[in-house]
Amino acid sequence: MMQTVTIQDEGDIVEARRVVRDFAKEMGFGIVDQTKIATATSELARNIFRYAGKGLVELQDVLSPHGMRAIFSDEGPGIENVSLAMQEGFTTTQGSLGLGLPGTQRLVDEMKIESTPGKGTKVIIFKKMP
Amino acid sequence: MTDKKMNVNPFEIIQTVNEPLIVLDEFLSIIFGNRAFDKTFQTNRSLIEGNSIFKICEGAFDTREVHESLEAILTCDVQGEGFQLEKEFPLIGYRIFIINPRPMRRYTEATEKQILIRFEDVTEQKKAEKTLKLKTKEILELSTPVTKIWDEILVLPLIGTLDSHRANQMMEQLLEVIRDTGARYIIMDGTGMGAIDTAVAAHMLKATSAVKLLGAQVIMTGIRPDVAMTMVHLGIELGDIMTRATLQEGVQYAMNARGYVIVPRQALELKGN
Amino acid sequence: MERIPILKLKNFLIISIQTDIHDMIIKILQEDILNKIIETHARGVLIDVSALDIMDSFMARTLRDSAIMAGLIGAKVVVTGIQPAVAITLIELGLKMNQVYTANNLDHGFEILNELITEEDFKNKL
Ligand SMILES: Nc1ncnc2c1ncn2[C@@H]1O[C@H](COP(=O)(O)OP(=O)(O)OP(=O)(O)O)[C@@H](O)[C@H]1O
Ligand SMILES: [Mg+2]
Repeated sequence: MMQTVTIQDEGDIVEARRVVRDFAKEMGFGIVDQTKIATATSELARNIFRYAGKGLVELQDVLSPHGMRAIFSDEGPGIENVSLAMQEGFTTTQGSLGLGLPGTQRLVDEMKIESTPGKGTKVIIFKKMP
Repeated sequence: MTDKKMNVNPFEIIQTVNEPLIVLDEFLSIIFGNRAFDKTFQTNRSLIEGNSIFKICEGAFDTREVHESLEAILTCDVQGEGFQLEKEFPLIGYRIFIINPRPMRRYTEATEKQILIRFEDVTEQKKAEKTLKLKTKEILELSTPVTKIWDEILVLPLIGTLDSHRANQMMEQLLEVIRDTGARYIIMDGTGMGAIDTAVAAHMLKATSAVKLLGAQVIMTGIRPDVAMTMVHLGIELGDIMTRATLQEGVQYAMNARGYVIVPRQALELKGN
Repeated sequence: MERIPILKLKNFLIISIQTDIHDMIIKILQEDILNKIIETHARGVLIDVSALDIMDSFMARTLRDSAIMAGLIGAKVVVTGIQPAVAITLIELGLKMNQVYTANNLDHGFEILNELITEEDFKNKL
């Protein structure tokens, strides 16, 4: 099973979290995990919209280890210092909490960020099937 | 067996089989692949025939197990057990195959050894097994013994040793009961609770915050002295969680908060007279 | 653009968020609530989110900020009906909602608002 969602306007953030929830539900995740994955998606999709303008969400049903993978990629400005961006409270948006990335990490089992300044960002999250 | 039968080209038969099959020569190059193979791996006879099995499909079969089982057939002529190949294949993505190689020298005119390999796609089957395992686990999960003791007051006895998984599950079920009953006070009684570690304590703190988001309040009671000591040693703070020494006092607190007082009947009778 | 309706009942405002909505609409709701408080002199606001199966940091923060802002202009806010899975996710996400009053359902929400307002009136009389 595989699926993609394009992010290019604010409505797509809503669409992405709906698609992701349905995907997770279809795979057999419980309601709490569905909500966690959908919320993580919302945070990462909003980052794409906010910082890169547009990008792509790809969903995969991984068999071994059994779980769900979501890949968020964009060709935006990239992240200068990834470990700094992962810190709670770090933000380049005025009035934001800088909670998106560190919060998302707590909602999933694995999270990896690959980013090249000037080229783009790729965030990969994985939720294990319990 | 008649001669006529022997004259049938085995490849003709292989071609009609619905399962992916290939035939290798003794150098492990492909002599023949059937249509089902082409279809399954999205390849083409012209791309595979004459090539080493380890080269086709972008090296998808270049694994230790494939090497070992084919060498066993070439050197000892023994047919090994089928084995499982689980990986991301080019073009077709993640699949699990049972691969079954067997020597087939006897059925061809050729004298040199040939190997027939059968591929069975068990991806869907394995997926179904996993789902079934999951469902079974769900059924086996313990239910959480939440009891309603008064309007809007629940008691949750914490029993035995809690691990993170169980603590999570308990929190989830408790929250659902709160939502469904409209409870406002949850007495968590630790009298029967075993030892706890930092992870479980952290879960309990989270549970308390989640309960609050639903509009209810946790009252911790019966924290045994040894558990209290461990908590202090581990640096766990109960923060602003309401605590009472015993379950009875917890019940009293919740009743008071609901606007009830518990008084001895005598006191009422005296007044009444 | 669609707007979330705000109902007025006595000196309370009632809002029910029925479906998952995008950032812009929740921002507009925030403004609408504040304007309506000024316009109607409402003392309390109930926001029911029981139909929401997701609340990310943006929405939670906007609701929290609305509650704090409403407090500054004289109205108490109670958020009602947060779903269990949403509550667990918010805690894990790390968003602090300490300053926000919460209740299981609208009935409890009303009770809490009444208590809060009585308390406030009492203090003001002293
Ligand atoms: N896709 C991206 N492209 C470029 N920069 C990014 C991207 N995602 C995150 N960042 C950078 O990392 C910082 C931290 O992101 P994070 O999501 O944790 O917080 P935020 O978006 O600033 O605030 P919040 O998510 O709490 O509203 C951002 O401020 C931004 O500078
Ligand atoms: Mg963000």
